[in-house]
Amino acid sequence: MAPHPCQSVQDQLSAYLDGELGTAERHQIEEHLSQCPACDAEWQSFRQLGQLFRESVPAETPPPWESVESRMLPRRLPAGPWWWSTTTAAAAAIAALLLVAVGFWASAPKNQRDRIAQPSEAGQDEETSMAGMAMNAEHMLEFQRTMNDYVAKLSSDPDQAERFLLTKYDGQAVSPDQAEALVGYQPLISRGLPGGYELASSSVVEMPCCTCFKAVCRRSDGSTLVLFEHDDDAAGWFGDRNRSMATCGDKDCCLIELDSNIAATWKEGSRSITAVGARDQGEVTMLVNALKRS
Amino acid sequence: MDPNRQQPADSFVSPALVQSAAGGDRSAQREIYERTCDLVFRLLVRMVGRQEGEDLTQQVYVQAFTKLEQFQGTAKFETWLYRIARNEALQHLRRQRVRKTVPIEIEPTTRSEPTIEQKEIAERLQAALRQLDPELSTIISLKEDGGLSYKEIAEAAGIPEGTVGSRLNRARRELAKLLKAEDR
Ligand SMILES: [Zn+2]
Repeated sequence: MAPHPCQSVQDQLSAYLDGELGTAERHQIEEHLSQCPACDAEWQSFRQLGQLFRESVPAETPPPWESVESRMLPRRLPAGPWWWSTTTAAAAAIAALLLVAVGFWASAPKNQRDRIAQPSEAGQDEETSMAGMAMNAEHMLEFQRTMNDYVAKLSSDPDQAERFLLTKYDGQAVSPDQAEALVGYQPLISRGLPGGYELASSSVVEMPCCTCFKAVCRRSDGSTLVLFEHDDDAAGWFGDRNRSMATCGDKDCCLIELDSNIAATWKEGSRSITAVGARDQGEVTMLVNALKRS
Repeated sequence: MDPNRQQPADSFVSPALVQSAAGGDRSAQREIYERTCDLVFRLLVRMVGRQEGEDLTQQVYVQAFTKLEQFQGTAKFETWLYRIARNEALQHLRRQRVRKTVPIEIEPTTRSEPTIEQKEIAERLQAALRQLDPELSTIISLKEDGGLSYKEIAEAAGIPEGTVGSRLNRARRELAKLLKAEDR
């Protein structure tokens, strides 16, 4: 331990170095430093550190603005019965998060609702989110970004889009029959796709919301439609894109506008089916009818 | 380093700019990003390394623009932003610790061409910072990279102003020790 005067000087060394002291205190310290090699050495080492920081400014530049922008929710203002009308995009983004949170809240087991209603500040819940659907806003944003990227890729390069999603969410390529052991039910499409569609690949994907069965279908013209079968509502999948409710066959469907086509989600028994890349409501209606349980 | 950034006397971000950005104006958001991202990025690189730093920088701004309406205007905008950055980095480090113990790696430096000596210095400092308590590496970066006053550091780190000096003493002593240990 340094003797008394040194102690008080050393306690103030940073404040002295950083110009946070008044004139009188500064003079006291200067005087001590001129007489005390130990304190002076410490002060020099602090100064050298500052030098080191200045010399080691990282050569890398921050990521470009575009990379930030691409991770933000789409700016389009919400419309339709599910959405509040808001005056700012920021408020819309918050509203989207709230809505999503409500969607998950409503579909989560009761004992997890409190956690969702009050996401913990520490964000420690991540490890349990697979089982619990307890996604906080940050995870929700990340999930929405992923789905956004996926949807964007799907129309230009479907194969790449599939690889992207499988890599991101631990996908496992399995046949519809093999899937049963993983998801706990026999996927509806295992009984066959409607005419004009061919199964290109199928897999089980650990999405943040739940474990989904995913079937990539090819139309006869080579275009792609992806069907997801899952336990939760697809409330959060598509961020704040425009959506509307429609009756397709005898089901209430939520139709979501994508960039060049639509997504649709509806309930079938206790599960949900989400079609991504559908052409129009007519195609959705056809799918609803073809994938009925009985 | 840009000398203006050393001692930011005033905010680079005016209340009017904040207001436009809060209203969703992408060009205002971009303006804010471009005026502030250097230090946010550097702070994050100091705390978590380059690769993760890039990703976290993007996350910080997505978050900041999403909750911009919560910015009260009582503190300097940058300080508010650094606080988000610090929280993000701490959260990230905590999660990382849960998953696995991360070996201290010296990340390869890329892009522009600093001298070999500069590179070495940067790598050594980076490695030492990663061994420091992250709370301490935050405040020393805010001081040395950002030139923030003690009052601003207190706001950004959420600690009493009176403790900034003693924490910086600790940070500097430990950092000097770590660097010395590496010399051997
Ligand atoms: Zn002394």
